[in-house]
Amino acid sequence: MKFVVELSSKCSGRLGLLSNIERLPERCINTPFLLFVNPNLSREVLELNFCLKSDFGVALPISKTEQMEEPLQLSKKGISEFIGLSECLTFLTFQNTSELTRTGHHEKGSIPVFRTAGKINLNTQRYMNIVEVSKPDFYLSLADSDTWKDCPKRRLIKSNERSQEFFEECISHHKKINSKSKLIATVEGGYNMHERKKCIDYLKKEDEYISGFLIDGFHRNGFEATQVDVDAMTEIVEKTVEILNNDKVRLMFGAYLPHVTLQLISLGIDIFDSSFIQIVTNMNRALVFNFDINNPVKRFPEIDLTDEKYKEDFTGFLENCDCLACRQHTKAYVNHLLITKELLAPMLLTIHNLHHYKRFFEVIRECIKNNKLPELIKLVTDQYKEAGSLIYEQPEITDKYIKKHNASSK
Amino acid sequence: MTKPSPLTYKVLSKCSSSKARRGLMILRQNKPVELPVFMPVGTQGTLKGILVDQLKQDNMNCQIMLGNTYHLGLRPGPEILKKVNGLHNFMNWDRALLTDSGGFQMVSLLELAEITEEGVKFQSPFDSTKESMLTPEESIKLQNVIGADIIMQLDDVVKTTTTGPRVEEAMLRTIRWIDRCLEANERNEDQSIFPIVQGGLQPELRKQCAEALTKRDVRGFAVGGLSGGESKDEFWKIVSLSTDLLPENKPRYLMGVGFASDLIVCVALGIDMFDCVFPTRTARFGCALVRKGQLNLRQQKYECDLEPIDKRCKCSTCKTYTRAYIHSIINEPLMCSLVSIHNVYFQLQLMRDIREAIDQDKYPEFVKTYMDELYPENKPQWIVDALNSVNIKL
Repeated sequence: MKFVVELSSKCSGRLGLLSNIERLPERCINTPFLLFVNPNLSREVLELNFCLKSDFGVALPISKTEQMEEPLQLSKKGISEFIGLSECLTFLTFQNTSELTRTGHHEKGSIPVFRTAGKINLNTQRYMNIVEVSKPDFYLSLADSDTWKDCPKRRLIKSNERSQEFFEECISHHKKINSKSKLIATVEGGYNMHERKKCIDYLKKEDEYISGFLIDGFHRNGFEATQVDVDAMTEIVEKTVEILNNDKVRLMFGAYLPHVTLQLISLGIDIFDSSFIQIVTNMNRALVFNFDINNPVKRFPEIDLTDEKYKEDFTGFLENCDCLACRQHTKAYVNHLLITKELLAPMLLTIHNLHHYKRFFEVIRECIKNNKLPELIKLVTDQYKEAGSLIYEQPEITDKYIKKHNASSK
Repeated sequence: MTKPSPLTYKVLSKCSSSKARRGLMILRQNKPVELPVFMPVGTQGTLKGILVDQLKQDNMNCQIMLGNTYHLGLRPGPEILKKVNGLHNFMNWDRALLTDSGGFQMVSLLELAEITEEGVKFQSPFDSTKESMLTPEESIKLQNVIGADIIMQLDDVVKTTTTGPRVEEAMLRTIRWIDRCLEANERNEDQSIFPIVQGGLQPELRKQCAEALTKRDVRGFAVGGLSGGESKDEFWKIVSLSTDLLPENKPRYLMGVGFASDLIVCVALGIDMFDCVFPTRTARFGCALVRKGQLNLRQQKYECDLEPIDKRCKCSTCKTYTRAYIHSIINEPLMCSLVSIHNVYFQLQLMRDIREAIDQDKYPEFVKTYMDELYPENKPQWIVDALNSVNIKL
C-alpha cells in the first residue's frame, strides 16, 4: 500500500492518493475520502447509483460482521467477496459508528460489542482471527474507545492502558500472520493532550507496521458525534496531527456534521465514514445543504420528509440532483412510504444522502486543489449555523434513549 | 376517432393436451403483458424493499403489479392520487397495474365490516367512531382515481367454506353489483373492469354466476372466492369448471393463488393471471422459494452454506450472494430486499418457463419434470387428479 500526499497546506487540508492496495492493484483512491459504513443496500441497488469500481469503499463494523467468521473461514475468499462487493475497498472496524455505543460493560482483556443479538466480549485473539479470515484491505487496531468530553480522568487513563494492551497484542498477531491487511492504529486519549501523547508514543514504537492513524475517542458514536464540542475537539486534533507522521493516512470516524467534517479536513484528516448519513436517514431526512461555491445560495440544510408539507410535493428532494431517488421519485411518495413504514423509504433516502455526501467530497477535493476550501467551509458552516439547534437538539442520553435510537436504525 | 381498446387479448398458442394457453394482453399505451402471468403484490404503492428499476431490469422484467385499493384509499388517499394523476405517476411505474376492489380486505382486516345490498359498511381503522360505506360505485370511483389498467368489481365476499343460502345470496349480489360497477366506471376507455365469478364450492351456483357475467360487455374475468381454506379437491374442480364456462377470447384471472404447484395446475386448467402476497411476505421471514419448495435461511444449517439460494437462478441475489451471507444478515432489512428479489424473480421465471413450454407445445413434459422435482416421492392426489382431468398423466 502506498499513500502519497499530493498537496498540503496548513489549515487548508491536503490531497492524497492511496494506491498499490494489494488486493486491488489498479485502484487509486483520492483523499479526502468517504467510506460507506455498514453497507445496507444490495449490490444491485448500489450499482444502479454508484460506480463501485472507481472510488467505493466500505467500513464494516465488527458488531455486524463477527457472525460471518465461520463461513469466511470456510470460503477463504475474504469479506469483500462474501458481502458481494469484491471490487470495493474494505475497512474492518471494531465499533459501529452509526449507533450510540453503551458506556461501561468492560471486562478484562476484551471490549464489549453490542450486536442486534446481544452483547459479546471481544478479545484480541478473536478479533485478529476475524481479521485473518475477513482479509480486509485495512483494519483498526483494537482499542477501548469508551471516552467522551467530560469523562472522568480515571476512565481516560484506563482506556489508554487497555488500548495499549490491545494494540500490543494486535501488533504481535499482525507480525505473525503476515497479513495483506494493513493496520490502522487507533489513537485514544479523549480530550487530554497528555494522554494522546502517551498513546502516540507507544504506537510509534511499531511505526513500520502502521499504515495510518484513526484519531478516536471524542464521542461514543451515533448521535453523540453530532454534538461534540467542536472547538475542544479541533484543538486536540490539530495538536495530535502535529505529532503524527505526515506520510501516513489519517482517519476520523463518526457522525460529525458536514461543517465539522470540513474543519477536520482543513486540519489534515484524510478519511471519514458515512455514519452521518445513517443518522440523517434514521431521522427520515434528506440532505439538501448547498456546496456549490459558484452559486453560494444558502438553504435549510436538511429536510424532514415526514413533514405534512411534503404530502403533495411532487418534486425530488433536491432540484438538479441526479441521484436515482431524485430523478425517479418525489417527496410526496417518500412521505407516503415513511408514513406506511415501507422499507423502500430508508433505501431511497440512503441513496440520495450517500450520493449527496459523495458529491460533497468530490467538491471538497476540487476546492482543496483550487485553494477554495475556506469558501466552502463558510458556505456550509453558514447553513448549519443558521439552522442551529433546530435540527440537532441535544437529547438526554439514557438507556431508554439508546434502545429507541438504535432500534430505529434496524 | 375513438380511442383504441385499453385491453386486447390474443391467444398465441395452446397446449394440445391440456387447457393451458399462451396469450398476450396489450394494455393501454401499448403495455404488453405476456400470459400466463404472476402479478406480485405491491400493496401500498411499492413492492417491499425493491426499486422500480430492479423490477424493470432485463432478467426480472416484471410487466404487471397489483395494488390494494383499500390501503391506497387510506394512504396516500384519493386527494393526493388525484393530484398526481394516479398511482402510475405516484410510484413512477410506467408498466401495467391492477387494483382489487377493496372489499376483500375490508371483510378480512376489519372485524366489524358488514355487507348489505348497498355495499360494505365498515368502521374507519383509524377512528372507530366513524362509520363508512364502500359501495360498488365508491369502489370504482376510487379505482378510477388510482388509475390502474385493470380494475376489479366490488363483490360480495363470503368465506370459502360457508354453506347454505348465504353463498347464493352473495353470488346473486355479485351479479347485481357488476352492473352498478360498470355503470359507475367513468374511465371505461382507460380502465377495464373484470367481474368476479362467485358461488362458493357449488358448481350450479358457479355456473349460474358465470353465465350471467359473460353476458356483460367486459374485457376479462376473474375467478374469486377460492384459496380460502377449502380442500384442494374442491378447489381445482371449481377452477376447472369456471374456465369451461368463461369465453376463450378473454383473459381469466384466478385471485389470490400463488404457490408454484397451484400455478402449474391452474395454468393447465386454463387460467391466465395470478396474484399472491405469499412470495414477498415469506421473504420477510427469510424464506426463499426454490424448485423443491422453500428454504428457511434462518436455520442454523445455512450458516456455512456457500451456495447461492439456487445455483440455476439468474436473479441478482443468486448472482452475488450465498445462503451463508443471507443467514448472517437475517435480522437486517437488507435480507428482506435480497430474498424478496429472489422470490419475485422465482415466480416470474416460473411463468416464463411455463410460457415457453406452452409455446413449444411441451407443457405436459414441463409439468411432469417440475412435479417430479417438487414431489420426488408421492405426488398429492389432487394434483394427479386435476392434471389427469386435462390429459396430463403424472
